[in-house]
Amino acid sequence: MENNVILSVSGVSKHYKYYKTLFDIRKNVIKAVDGVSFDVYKNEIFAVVGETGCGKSTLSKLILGLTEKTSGKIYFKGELLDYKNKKNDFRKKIQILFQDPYSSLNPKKKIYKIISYPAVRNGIIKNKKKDRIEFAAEQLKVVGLPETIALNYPHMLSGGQRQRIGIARCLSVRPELLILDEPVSALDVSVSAQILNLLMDLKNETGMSYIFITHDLKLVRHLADRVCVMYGGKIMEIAETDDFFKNPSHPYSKSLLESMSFLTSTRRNL
Amino acid sequence: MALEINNLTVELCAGKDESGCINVVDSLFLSVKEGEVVSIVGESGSGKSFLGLSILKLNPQGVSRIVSGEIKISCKSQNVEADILKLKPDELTDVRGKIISMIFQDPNTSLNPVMKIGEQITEAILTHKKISKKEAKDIAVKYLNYMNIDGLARFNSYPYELSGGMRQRVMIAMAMVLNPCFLIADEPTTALDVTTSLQVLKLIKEIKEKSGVGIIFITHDLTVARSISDRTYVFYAGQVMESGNTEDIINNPAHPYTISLIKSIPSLSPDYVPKQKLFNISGYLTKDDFKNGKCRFYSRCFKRDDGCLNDIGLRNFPDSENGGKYGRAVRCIKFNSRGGAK
Ligand SMILES: Nc1ncnc2c1ncn2[C@@H]1O[C@H](COP(=O)(O)OP(=O)(O)O)[C@@H](O)[C@H]1O
Ligand SMILES: Nc1ncnc2c1ncn2[C@@H]1O[C@H](COP(=O)(O)OP(=O)(O)O)[C@@H](O)[C@H]1O
Ligand SMILES: [Mg+2]
Ligand SMILES: [Mg+2]
Repeated sequence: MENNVILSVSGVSKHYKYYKTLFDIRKNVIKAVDGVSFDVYKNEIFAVVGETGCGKSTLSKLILGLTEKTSGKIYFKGELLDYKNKKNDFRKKIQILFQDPYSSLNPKKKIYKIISYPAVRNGIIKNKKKDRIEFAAEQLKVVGLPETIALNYPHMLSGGQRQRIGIARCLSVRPELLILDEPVSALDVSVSAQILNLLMDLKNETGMSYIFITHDLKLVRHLADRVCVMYGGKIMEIAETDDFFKNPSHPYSKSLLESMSFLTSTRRNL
Repeated sequence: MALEINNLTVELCAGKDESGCINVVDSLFLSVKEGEVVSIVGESGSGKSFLGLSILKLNPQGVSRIVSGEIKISCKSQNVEADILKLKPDELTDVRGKIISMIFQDPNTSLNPVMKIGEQITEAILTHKKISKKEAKDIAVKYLNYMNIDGLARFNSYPYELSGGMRQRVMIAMAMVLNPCFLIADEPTTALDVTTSLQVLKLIKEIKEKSGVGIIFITHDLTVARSISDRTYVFYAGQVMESGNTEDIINNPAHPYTISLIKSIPSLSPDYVPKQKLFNISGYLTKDDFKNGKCRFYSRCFKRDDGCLNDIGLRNFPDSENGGKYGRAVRCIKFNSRGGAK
């Protein structure tokens, strides 16, 4: 394996079994992720695109060990990715930024506690109120929020602010691989621009890699080094971003690109 | 047929004393004609939903109140000509849904989760129309079909059995089923992915063309506004900062806020380059920005100086083609119509 590969996904599948109705004895299978293989390089932004239900979130759960693989193997820097193996610190090195900030912030905890929790858990700072508030204030600055909200509760914040809290929390332990699952799709453009700039800066400063999950091709074009197109749990195409936009090889990619031209050129195209 | 808002001001008092009051909608003028889509574009917290709700006097009671203004509607097909703010409660009920209907970002909050979608639409019809249940059902099926949902097959489905895009289309069916003159759509595609959002946008456009409904389309996304609207109102902290033809605004923005917005969106600006830093609008929108006096964008503006300490109000472009209500206007002292915001 090349040593500039940070993550290697090899023949990974996730099949969900379910019963159509309560009385149905036959099991049905959804192949949410179906025999997927790809490498993510160090300091690269690897975009995964596709419409809702194509398996993007399942793929990220598999990488994070939040759901069992049906088959296949995943390697992190050449080592088998196994979260039971505590000495490798995989939990800290691979972080995910969730799509939905509402369900991921504990409503009973003040903001500074939410943000500083992973840092405390990973021994980056001491579990002292003063330290935690200071640390949180720093992280808040990074995501463009006033320090004063450190003492607020999540319900006092707007959706955009909550999303930024999630980002602050996630970046606070400086992971090596960050999975971004639709990180800006719920944000205002002004906030989104700040976050995208920030993500680019952090990538360049820290050498982190991103798996950037999105359905928005504008963002792919803006950020990604390579793009992986998924459809129905399978990979349709992996390409360098520039090549992809100039000359998509798969018909499905072409139709995705059409939807983008609709949104970025004048309304007469509708 | 038109809806015209003149000088609407809505006050929001969330704090305990009067000093905590802000004009969450401030001396606002807006108009929409038959078969026209106008967008209200602004970031979250700027008061867009408040504006949308206030048009139907659905703004949250207890904390907010409509201070002044008029909301004139004329709707030929329903034979109504009125100022919404002067209506009696029962007349207002009639206007809601029948003359102006509304759809929201999250269909889950408006659809009853334990009621079949066909029945929900039927019920909406029957609260406003004196027709038989059978007739109402037929209309419901027709409107579902019209939204590319198999009305007969899906009539007995519950909301959870449908995808997000489908649920949003059910919402649109419900909003259109009484054949209203106006539709207020509050971020109807924000929760959807690009492909689904595209389908919903196309559908809204089609409906507009077939029915002639006038649409107020609320969004935080200028790209979406561009794809759907004839005219756009750029909205910030309760005020219109710039208004006019959507393409004109994007190709030739006048207000520093509009300029900043466009440069912060990948692909939108004509001189966009991938992987370059996006424009970063400094700071964030706070409640303080809603205070009257200086330009409300002052604290974040890259052009600000002491001249901006007095809000000058919205001014028409002198050379604007239509002038007045339907032409270009901008609220910025730095702007002269020939050279942009200098
Ligand atoms: N826990 C689960 N049980 C059964 N099916 C699931 C589960 N999670 C996801 N799926 C199905 O797997 C497919 C892929 O889902 P997902 O990974 O969430 O897609 P995406 O993130 O691209 O929208 C969908 O058809 C979805 O309904
Ligand atoms: N029920 C409420 N009580 C007090 N403040 C509210 C309420 N709803 C919204 N607000 C505040 O009013 C402002 C405008 O909100 P809103 O109209 O929802 O903005 P937008 O739709 O543009 O995101 C925000 O600052 C928000 O926090
Ligand atoms: Mg997902
Ligand atoms: Mg809103």
